[in-house]
Amino acid sequence: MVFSSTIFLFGFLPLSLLIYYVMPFRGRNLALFILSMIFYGFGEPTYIAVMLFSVTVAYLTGFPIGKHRESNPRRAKIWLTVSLGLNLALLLFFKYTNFFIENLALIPPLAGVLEPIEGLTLPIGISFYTFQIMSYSIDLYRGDTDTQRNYVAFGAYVSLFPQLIAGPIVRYKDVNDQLIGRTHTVDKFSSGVRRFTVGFAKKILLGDSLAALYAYLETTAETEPTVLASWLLVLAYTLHIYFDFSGYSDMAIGLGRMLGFEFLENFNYPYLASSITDFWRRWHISLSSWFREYVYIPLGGNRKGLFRQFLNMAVVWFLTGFWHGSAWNFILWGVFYFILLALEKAVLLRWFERSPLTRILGHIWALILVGIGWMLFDHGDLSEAFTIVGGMFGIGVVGLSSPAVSYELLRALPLLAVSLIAATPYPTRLFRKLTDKHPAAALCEPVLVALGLLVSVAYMVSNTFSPFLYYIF
Amino acid sequence: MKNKINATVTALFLVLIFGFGIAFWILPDVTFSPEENRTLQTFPTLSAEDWLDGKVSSRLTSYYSDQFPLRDLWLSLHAVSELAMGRGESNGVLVGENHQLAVRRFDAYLSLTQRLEDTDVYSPAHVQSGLDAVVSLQKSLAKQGIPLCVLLAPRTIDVTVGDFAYPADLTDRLDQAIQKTFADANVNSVELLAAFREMHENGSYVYYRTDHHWTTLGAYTAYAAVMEAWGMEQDTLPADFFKIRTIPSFYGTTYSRSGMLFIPPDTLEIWEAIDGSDARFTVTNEKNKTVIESGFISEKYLSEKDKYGAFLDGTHSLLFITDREAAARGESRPRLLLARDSFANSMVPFLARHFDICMVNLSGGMTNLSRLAEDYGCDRVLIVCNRENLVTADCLRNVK
Repeated sequence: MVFSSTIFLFGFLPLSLLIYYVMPFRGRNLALFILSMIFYGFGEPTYIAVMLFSVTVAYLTGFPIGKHRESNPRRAKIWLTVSLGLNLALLLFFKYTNFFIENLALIPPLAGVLEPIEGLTLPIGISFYTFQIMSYSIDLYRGDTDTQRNYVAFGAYVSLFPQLIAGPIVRYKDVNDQLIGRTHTVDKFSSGVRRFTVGFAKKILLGDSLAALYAYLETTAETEPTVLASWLLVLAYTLHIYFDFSGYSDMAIGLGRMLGFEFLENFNYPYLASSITDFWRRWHISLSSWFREYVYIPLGGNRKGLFRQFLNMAVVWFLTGFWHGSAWNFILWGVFYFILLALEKAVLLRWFERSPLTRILGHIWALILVGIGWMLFDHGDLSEAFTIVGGMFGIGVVGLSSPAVSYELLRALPLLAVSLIAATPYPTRLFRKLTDKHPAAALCEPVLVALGLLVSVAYMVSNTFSPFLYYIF
Repeated sequence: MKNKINATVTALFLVLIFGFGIAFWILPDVTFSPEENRTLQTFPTLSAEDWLDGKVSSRLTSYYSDQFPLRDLWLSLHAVSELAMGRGESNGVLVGENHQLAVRRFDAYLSLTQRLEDTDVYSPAHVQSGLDAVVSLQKSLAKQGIPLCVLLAPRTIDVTVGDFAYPADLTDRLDQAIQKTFADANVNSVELLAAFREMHENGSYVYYRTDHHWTTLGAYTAYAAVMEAWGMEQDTLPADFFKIRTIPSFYGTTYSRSGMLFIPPDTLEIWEAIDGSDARFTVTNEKNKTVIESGFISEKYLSEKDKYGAFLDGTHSLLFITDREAAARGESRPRLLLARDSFANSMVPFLARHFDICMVNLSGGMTNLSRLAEDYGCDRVLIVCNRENLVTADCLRNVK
């Protein structure tokens, strides 16, 4: 079930809130656990078992890890390995088996021997919840948190429906206290509503519209590639993926607040980044900090000399790319970022700092390369990505623009302008300034929330509208 | 005050999600949407097997979206917001001068095998293969001594493009491809785009504003042009041979797709012979069952949404239109094989004055026209097909 569907917004959500708030506090984790299972099982009934297995492994190994971590670290480490090993094995099996088989089958002696496993589909959210589960075992081993003895509380943590399928990846130690005691107030709930509405509107009104623009331009560019179409494609996707993903995170954070939880932020206006390094501090923060915390720093981070540091970065960025999907283009996308980040670390970051002009250049450099990166990210067939990137610089195009593309650009200008402004913190800042000066302006907040919800629902309903013109014949 | 605002925001949200959530379950299910011309998902049967397959969840999801309360209003709010954002269109439907609507995005073949939804590009190779099939059909018919005439009816966007800021070159290119292929191969093709554009610009009501078909005036114009192409212009019935019955409040398919509730309706015209001679004609189907006893109009459609369906009773794969009185006199009339889509339905009342007509549906799989012409003893063949089908369907590609 996705948040941006009528069945979630007008079926699952009201029912969940009702059950959750009718329950006495003690029963609320259980309610959440069960509701989340229904949420998950709605689309993936068979894979509930996979998730419960992962949860149970981490829960059970939590006891020996907690017990031995001080008295017998070796033993604790063995149990930690069991937990991480089993969880990673499931992730590897479901997500990567066919990738390895398909690529090994390219080696002549193995061709025909290895057959991809049919019907092996990726359990939704497995990449996210596996990382959450791992963070529990590791935090526990490191002594950052204590053993969770309550299976229901632990299960609720892993399966919590607001962030189950697309993050943010909540680290166990950040949410431990909230599992045991959290407050529910009207203020918190209403801030959740605001946040959810913002995310909902970002995803539906901007993200989906930009996706439609992107899809349209892609076919146009395929039959008639032009420079303008290539740049527009990159711009549309760059904006689309931000509003789609950060909108989803906003909805998750908002829903979390409605249920009394506070999650950490996942995005911080990534397209304001002054460099690629800065971009990755602002984009999908919960993932990059997970890799920093649990891979980069344990490998030695920057404490073992420059060579080791670059090596560690290479490992982290290969894994980051591969985490996003089991295909070569994701690996290439990760490696692409490793090269850029290494370049920045070695030379560019210092150069960008030199003057206001070089700072602007750093910003442009980051934006263009992130955009090109998205083309690698979106195209399993790399030649398509190279065609678009080539088209940006006039390679293989039929002209600067075509009437169809110019028309489309003109019609999309308001959408692009709103999107560009909405990708900066200025609208929020402006609103805050306004309400500070004139407290009465805050009165329009409920109006904005209602308007945002209604228009977004209209777009959501309209997207399912598919007239079947049977009698064209 | 802060507290009050927070309470208002919370209350608004809860009222909205609970209000619509409850309304959804209270309101009775609707089984058919005339607006969208399709059956809607009703509450699915729940079985464990279907649930494990994921079928229940996908059906429940469509159940929720299909039966959602106030669908029309939501669609309209969407359309208004899109127009407010300067898109000039909603759901692929442009809105232009004088409330003219036109579909601009079609499903199309992108190559000979790959189809794509909602686009305004198309595969020139696919279009060419459709045109080439017509050219070779003409050759094989010529061997049988049967003349072929082709009318690829322009789409609304082709005729009304001047009402929108939309660039004309996409529709012009399609027209050029058609004209060039048919001129090179000497196909007797009726080219109406320029004439329709001019008539439309001069304020003639040749295409509906809210539907994808031509009006009855448009159909009459096409009829006159076909007669001329056959060299029969001296037989063409003058417009004053007919009196016009008007059916108001016609909201067509384009209107439904757009969701633009503020667009005024079209008027559907039925042209009836002054002398009442329409009654002579009977429409039967392939099982020799009478579809329309007398005349060409299936009256029941006129009170429904799908008013254009009144012409020849909507969609049938095979129909025969005959003159009962002539048959009773033992008079043998020339026979026309009409391979067509729905555009032809409003032309038939005119053509039937001159021919007994055997009408086959181009999408119905009956594409072996040279055999059909032989089987039904037809003297001539006319293809009437909307250009949308040239782009989105493969019916022309298969004719032979």
